[in-house]
Amino acid sequence: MKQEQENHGQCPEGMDLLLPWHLNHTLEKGEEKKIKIHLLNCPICQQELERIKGEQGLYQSAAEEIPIPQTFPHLIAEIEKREQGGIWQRITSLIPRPLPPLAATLIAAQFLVIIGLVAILALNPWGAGERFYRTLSGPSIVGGKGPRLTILFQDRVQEKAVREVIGEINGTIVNGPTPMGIYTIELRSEMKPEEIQHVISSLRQKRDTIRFVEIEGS
Amino acid sequence: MELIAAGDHRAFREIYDRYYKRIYLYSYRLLGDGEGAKEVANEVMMEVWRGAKKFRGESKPSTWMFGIAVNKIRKEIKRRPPAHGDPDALEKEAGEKTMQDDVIYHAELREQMRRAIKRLSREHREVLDLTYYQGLSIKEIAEITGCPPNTVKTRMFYARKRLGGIMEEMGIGGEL
Repeated sequence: MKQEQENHGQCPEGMDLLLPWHLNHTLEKGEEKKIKIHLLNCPICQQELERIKGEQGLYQSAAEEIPIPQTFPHLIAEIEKREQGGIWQRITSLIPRPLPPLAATLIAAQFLVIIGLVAILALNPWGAGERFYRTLSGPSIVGGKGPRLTILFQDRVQEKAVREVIGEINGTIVNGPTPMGIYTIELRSEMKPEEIQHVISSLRQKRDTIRFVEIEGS
Repeated sequence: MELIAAGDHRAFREIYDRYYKRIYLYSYRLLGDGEGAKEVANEVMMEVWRGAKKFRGESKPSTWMFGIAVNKIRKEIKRRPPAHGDPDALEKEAGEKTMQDDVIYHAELREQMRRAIKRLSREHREVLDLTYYQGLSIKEIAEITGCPPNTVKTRMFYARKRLGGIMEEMGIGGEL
């Protein structure tokens, strides 16, 4: 025995390391061929192989005596129970128990973030959403206090020409064009009535550009 | 595996019949108790049922299942408090028994072997079992345990050396 122990693992070619797998026939072809040839001439490995055979036999016989529980019906019952359970039960069954500390921390952090976002939306501390914007085609417009003209341009007039006309009278578009193509133009608030009349007269002379012009509310 | 993924109980039964015992015995020898082994083997089977869709056939089903079992056993061993008591007391007690005939003698020998296995480290039990009992190749064991193949070879060498040492201490070294 002592001699065997001394020899154990001392094959000069290190082939004894492969012997357990030579015995269970799982070595790759090349290795298997090599070890078979080696075993013919290596007394250390021959001795070691016999020892491994005894060890394996005893190991297997020791294992065989353990009674095996029959759990298949329980497994099937458990599977069916889980499959019949609701979607929530299925989801929770995927969560490992007990929950790893890192996962628990992450879930808690996510929960806090969600609570925080809901609170921000509810309290609106920066006044988000209170400013509003309107398009020129909107139903009403925030404007100044100057007099307003209602102008209908000719059908084929391009936008550039419209802007030139408005620029000439220092007006600002405060509404329009409506579906009918009508613009509401605001003039400067300090304009006197005669100046306004003058503007209207000059606009009416531009017949190739303007079809209709009138002071709002007249 | 495809049939199991489709919910076929018969296919699942076949896999159960083929592997449950192997996995149970493997878990038993590593954990040292039937309840823990049953729990691990059942969990592995549940995982097979749930995860059959994910099995791509890149490795053998046995390699996949033993991989699951190895991870579960490692977790279970970590979770458990360290064992107390004097393991040598059992051997001393066993050594005092008289061997009356061959049957008793061999039964005693097997019992001694079980005790010797219990005294090995988890890594040594893993590699011994996967080689001697499960009959797996170096490559498969490397995949299951997550070690390089050369580590598997040397680990087996040291596991056998340790087992031989324990059995000699117990007075049965010459029986091998």
